[in-house]
Amino acid sequence: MADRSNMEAWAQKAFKLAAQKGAGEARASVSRSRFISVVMRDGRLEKASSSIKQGLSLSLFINGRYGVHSTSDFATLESFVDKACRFTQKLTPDKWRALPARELMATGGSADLGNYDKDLAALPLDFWLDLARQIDGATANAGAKLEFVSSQGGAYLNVDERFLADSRGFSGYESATSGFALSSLTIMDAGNKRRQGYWYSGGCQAGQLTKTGLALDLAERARTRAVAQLGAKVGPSGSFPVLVENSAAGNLTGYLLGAMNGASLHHKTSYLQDKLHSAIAAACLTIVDRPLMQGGLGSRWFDGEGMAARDLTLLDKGVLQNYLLDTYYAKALGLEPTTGSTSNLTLAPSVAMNGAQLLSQVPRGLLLTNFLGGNFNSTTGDFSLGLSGQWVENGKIAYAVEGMNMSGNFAALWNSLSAVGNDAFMYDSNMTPSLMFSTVRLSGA
Amino acid sequence: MSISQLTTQKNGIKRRNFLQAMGAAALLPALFACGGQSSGQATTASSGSWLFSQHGVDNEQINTLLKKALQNGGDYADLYFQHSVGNYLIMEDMQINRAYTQVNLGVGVRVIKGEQVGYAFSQVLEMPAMLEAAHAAALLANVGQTSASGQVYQVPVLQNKPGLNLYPMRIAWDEVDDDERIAILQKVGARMAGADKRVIKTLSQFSDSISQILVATSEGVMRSDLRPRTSLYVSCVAEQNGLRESNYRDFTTRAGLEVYSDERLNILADQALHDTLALFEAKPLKAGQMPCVLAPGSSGILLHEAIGHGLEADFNRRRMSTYAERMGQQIAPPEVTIVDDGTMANSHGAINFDDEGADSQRTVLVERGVLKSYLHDRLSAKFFGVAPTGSGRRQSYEYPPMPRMRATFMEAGNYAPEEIIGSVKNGLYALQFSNGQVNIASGDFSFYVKSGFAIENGKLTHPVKDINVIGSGPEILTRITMVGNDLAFAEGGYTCGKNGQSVPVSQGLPTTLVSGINVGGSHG
Repeated sequence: MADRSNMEAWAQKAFKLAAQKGAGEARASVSRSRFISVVMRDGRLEKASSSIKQGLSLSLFINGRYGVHSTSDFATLESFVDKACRFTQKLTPDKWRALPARELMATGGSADLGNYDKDLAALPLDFWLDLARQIDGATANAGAKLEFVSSQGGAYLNVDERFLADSRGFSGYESATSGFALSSLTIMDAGNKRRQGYWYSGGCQAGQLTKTGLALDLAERARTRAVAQLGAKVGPSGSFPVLVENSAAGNLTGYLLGAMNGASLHHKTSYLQDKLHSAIAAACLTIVDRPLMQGGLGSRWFDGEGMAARDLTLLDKGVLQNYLLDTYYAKALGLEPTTGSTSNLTLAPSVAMNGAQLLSQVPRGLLLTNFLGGNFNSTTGDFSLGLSGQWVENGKIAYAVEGMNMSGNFAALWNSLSAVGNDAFMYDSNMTPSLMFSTVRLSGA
Repeated sequence: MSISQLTTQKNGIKRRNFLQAMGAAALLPALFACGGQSSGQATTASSGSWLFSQHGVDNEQINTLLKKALQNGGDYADLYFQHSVGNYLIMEDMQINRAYTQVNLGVGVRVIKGEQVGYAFSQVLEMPAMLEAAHAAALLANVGQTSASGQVYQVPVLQNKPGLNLYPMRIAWDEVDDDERIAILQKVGARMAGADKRVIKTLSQFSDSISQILVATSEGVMRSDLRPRTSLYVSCVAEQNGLRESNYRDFTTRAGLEVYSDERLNILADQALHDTLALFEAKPLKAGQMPCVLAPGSSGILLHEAIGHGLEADFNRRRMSTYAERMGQQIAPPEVTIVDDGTMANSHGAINFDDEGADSQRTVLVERGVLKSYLHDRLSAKFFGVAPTGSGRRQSYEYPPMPRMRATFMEAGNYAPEEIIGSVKNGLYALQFSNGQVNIASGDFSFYVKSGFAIENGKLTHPVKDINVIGSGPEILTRITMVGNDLAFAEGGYTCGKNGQSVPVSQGLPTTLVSGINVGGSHG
């Protein structure tokens, strides 16, 4: 399977087989990914892998009976579809199962979303080997004057293609490139503890991986982050301001999205049920999903059901404007479909300040740089999360902390949001920037 | 690193999350166990004939592929063939209205040269495609090294080597009718229907899979296995005085349909309901450092996070683990003996042999408080000059193996559980867990207590919920002061995620007292 027409042929073959077995409607997604992954450690190759992965996923709609069936074995497609149809036919019909309304489907050709770069796709294996080697070397150098334990450089390429079609005639093809580079440094601390600092960057364009100074820049970030955790101890208990760094803040918006999706609402496991058009967060929080963003890691012109991608305001000034609803859950909840999943999640900055500038405004509190385990109970909104970071006194880092928990309820947490930074996290499709919360309950020493 | 990974598939294809690929070490319940597992004919576990009879790959072709893999002068190569078929069914409010199936087929080729690993896979089991993967792996392993020119590698005659027989299926999943799968959920539904009027939603999930694998190595070892997995997850949401709570119970094993007795199904349904309603009685627990009594069973999550990952030898080979260079030292009180065992029948973490063809075994990690062994794969065993411990595992043919846990537990001690609870003035009794995570470098770990009780004056008083516990692994081990005589294993399955690969694991613990640990507040 090497190109779009080939992927299309497999999808059409699957439809034909499904129709023969009584599936009135169907949707097929054919994917193909090529990847290169290189890890260099302590001056040597640790692991290099490269392959092509393909798959076909067939969603069947047989008189309200619904099943999704996936395979990587294209040689046995016929028996696979036969078995899938027979299994699906055993289910209970569900009146809300259907393909999306026609008028919501994406039409026209693929817009150029700037997320496929042929130059990035063409970078050869040697480039990625060399990049990983450079980063590993730079990281070892950065750690040379410290109690050095281990350095690591990583370089990763993904070239993804997706063909989605349904039996009513929709078809769409997308391709995307992404490359990432990683530095990780481990150094010794007192008490036989190690401190690992890491940082990564990347994007859809070759220039984001070939730029000069990348290796040195990543190594310096990794060094800074490892050193920042030296001597970490358990900080104080109580209610304090907490600044969540952009690289960690996406965890919190991720949990929030989980409570906004149709499955949680329909399963009655969302604390945001019946909260549409209500304030669920402080007025400084505006969240918009932007699928058509140029060069975004999550950019797309149609969603998982083939619905036309469009900007979707989830929260506007703290007011919940939309849930994440695919066709099924929209019908089940009696609402209009939006989309079942986010693409590029963006938060409007409430202040013209980045994380470092926000830090200077914290009189006494916590800079949270990493979460460690914990959980968010979507049904009640209660959370308890492990964390590490740095303690802040008078706007300056005082010492490193670890082994602490923050806990409370999401309704109160998001109401205590006092600032949204302008430093969107660029290396994930969830681009949450630094978030400042005025009061969070911490448990420590 | 402190990056957790979750693998639930929603609509469409989500962009591969870079963080997931880098991932650290996280333990999550195996609620969605249908992750690309397997099927085929129920041939005997030790025979390689499935590969030939179903896919036409014979020993001569295997031999040719291994030679190709070693053409650039690798020291060692192995092939990992896999064919998996999985089924997954969902029942919502007594309606069984969603089914998922998954087929995964492929072969992974690994070439090792020195400590360098080259890896590639093919999803087509035809010679041209498989040779291309072997060629790619050979090139990748050889990066930066000079090719051994003119050297011709002879692969010894492949010898079938039987493994253990830990998970025979009396009723194999490939012979089970879809109606029988549906009947399992129907029985659960019938038990829950009308059981309590506070219940406003029920959601249950059933999954089964069988994975046929064949490992062939350039040292002439060939082993074949048939690995079943099944899980049942039962959850509900209840409403009382305008407040909602939800909870679940799950059961996971390596066995066939025979494990789903009516009694087991009824107990699971009753427990899920009971555990949900119990949350309405929960009161807050004041946060802070306190003694914690771990209930027998799934509390083994403590060992998994506090020490298990830290003893995986890949982290120690790189000196990155907080347990590096501590072999032979007293790291816990003499009450503590910790074992990682791949040989327990029907255990979620059981393996008849590991994913690089080494014998499965029971490995004593800590004996009477003294660090005795790491968990080794082939690479680390060679590095440390010891025998492999049968811990080389992988998620699928798409990944090279690395040292992983299997079933991790602590041996029973001498105390009666009541005696242990009775010794605590104020503290936490931790009963159920949903997930955990560890930072390998610092040794800090956390695990999440889904439900438990407050201990006051040596007695269990009110239920508590939603509490995260966090601490330093090496420190916590030294604070284990009492070990009960009631070792039990978790019924619920866990999958462990590490560097983007997840594998099924098990855990067990007797009632255990940790004298002090940081307990996050629970919201009341």
